[in-house]
Amino acid sequence: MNLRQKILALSVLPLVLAILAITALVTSQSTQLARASIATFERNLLRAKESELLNLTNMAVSAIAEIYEAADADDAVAKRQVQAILSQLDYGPDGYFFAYDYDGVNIVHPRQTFRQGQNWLDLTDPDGNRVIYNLIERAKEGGGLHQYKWQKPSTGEVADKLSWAVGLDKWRWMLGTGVYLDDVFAQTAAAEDDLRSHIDTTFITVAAITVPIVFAVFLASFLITLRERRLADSKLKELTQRVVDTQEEERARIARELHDGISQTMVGARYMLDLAAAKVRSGAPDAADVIERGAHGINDAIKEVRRISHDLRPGVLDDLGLTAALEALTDSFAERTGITVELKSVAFKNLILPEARTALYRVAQEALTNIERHANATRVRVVITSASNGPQMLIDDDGQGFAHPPARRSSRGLGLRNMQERMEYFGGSLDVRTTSKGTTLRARLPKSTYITQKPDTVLA
Amino acid sequence: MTGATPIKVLICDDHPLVLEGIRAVVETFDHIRVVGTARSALAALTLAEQENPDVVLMDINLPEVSGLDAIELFRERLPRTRLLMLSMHDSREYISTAVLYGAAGYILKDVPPAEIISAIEAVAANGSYFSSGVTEAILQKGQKRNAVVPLTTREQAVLLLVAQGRSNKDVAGELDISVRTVETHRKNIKKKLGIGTTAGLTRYVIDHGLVGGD
Repeated sequence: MNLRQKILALSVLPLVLAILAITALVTSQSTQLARASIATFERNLLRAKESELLNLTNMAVSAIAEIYEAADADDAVAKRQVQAILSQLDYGPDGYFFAYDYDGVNIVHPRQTFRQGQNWLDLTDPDGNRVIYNLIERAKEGGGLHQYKWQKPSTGEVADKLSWAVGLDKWRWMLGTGVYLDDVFAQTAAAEDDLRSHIDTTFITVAAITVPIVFAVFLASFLITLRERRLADSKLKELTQRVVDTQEEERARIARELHDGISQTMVGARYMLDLAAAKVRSGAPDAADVIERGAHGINDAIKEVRRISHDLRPGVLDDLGLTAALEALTDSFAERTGITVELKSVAFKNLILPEARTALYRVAQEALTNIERHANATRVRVVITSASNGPQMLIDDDGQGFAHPPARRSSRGLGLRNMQERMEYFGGSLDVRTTSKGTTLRARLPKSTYITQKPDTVLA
Repeated sequence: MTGATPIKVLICDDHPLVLEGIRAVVETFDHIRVVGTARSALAALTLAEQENPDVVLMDINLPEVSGLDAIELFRERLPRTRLLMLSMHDSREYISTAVLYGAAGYILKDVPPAEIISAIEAVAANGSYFSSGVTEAILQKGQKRNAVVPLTTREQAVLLLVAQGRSNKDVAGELDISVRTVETHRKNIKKKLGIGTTAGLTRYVIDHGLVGGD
């Protein structure tokens, strides 16, 4: 896991966690609230049903009251009249009155007439509830509620039913009516469904907010990474192109020098030696002169090779160190340009890594080239210092300076960038300050570029 | 030349063809005798301790110990042997470094044979010889602008040991040289750096990053 991924995780993880926590809290609270209100709703509904049942029963009781009050315990006519009245009392498809005597024999059941005249005291519902017995018990107690399961007439299916039973003690009758509760439960269930869908909606809403945010964060970081990589890629490409260009230029130059210079000189020398061989064979007296001329040509070639080799890489840098190489560089610079150069360096050699040494040398070379081309200076100072925190090179001149940063692609801009990159490669820095009175260039390298000195390895 | 006793010459160059070429050129002269050839500086030193040559023709670019560092070794072990540097390099810096380290002469490899012989003769007669074109470089070097005189390889090694608080005897043992030589190096170091005390030298070494200060 790299740093970028860690940062991303650090920013996304708390976000996700916070959203999850808030969602959980909101959901649990709203669920609790909804459940409480559903419970209240159910209780109210049941209470309404109960009072409705009570009213209905009272209504039925008052409907038969006149006949019942007037009749005695064995008045069969009155009983038949009451039976008829109860059979006709109807309120809706599932609203009816029933009556049993205290022994369990059915007297009235308008929806299930087959029950009439038979004893149902031991009738149980699917839950094992002795329905008729319990209803009679409520009635004997002076009236009460009983809940059980019964076939609902309108649907023909067994449903929960809540009934109110009262007793007509004189006749030892139980009279009751009930309501089916499935619609109550259906309403509660609907409310619960509402709740569930509400929670689902909350979740979906939260997800709808969270997912795009997290996605956006990812996308943003991805785009940033991509952009950076693309920038780095293009920079690298540019750099590679520059390296390739430089290399090709250099090769072309060397090839030209080898071919036009050394090669021609060597060819000349060979002609001389061929000529000398011919002269020796024919016994001509001036063979030695020709040989000498050939040797002279070879000497020229040697000098040429030395010059090219020195241009490619000054051996002084490897053999004698940075100070000596800079001395050679500043000497030839002073000779060529007439600009006075002051060089101050340290007494040590083999102090810094060969690659760092080369980098400092190339920076100095580039700086001097810039001064020669653009600065119009009369005096240049090159100071190498070695301190405990790393080597440093300062190059300043009294020239006219230049606008910094220079225009892109200009040769000087490229040169500066090259110098900068050379220093940065070692974790060092290049600092350029320029005014109309001169330019100061300070190249710093970290102390990691020092070679660990061992007395016994200085001299093998 | 006196002609009676030939000049004893030892040639050191890692390139066999060059070695043979120089040997062939030198041996055509009767008053010079090649007592040996070596392909490395240390081999040359060992051979020189046996043959005791008057002049050593020493290449600068040698593997392991360079010809320049070899000058100091010869000066320590065989102070009477004269060193004539032989090089492809015509830069002043090589020449001045060779002189600084104690070489008696410096010639380029591509000079005519007669010049090599003149150089050997001059150096053997306790003189010095520098190739044509090299002399001006040396003269200019006299008023060099670098205020700091660089230490030689040996001096730098001695300085490092001294900065570690080692005694002269210790240093002599470590570098396989005499105590007197160490004392000489030490004196030269103090003169070059302008520092009088050992503590000052230690401090200088740390301040200049030569050894880690932390």
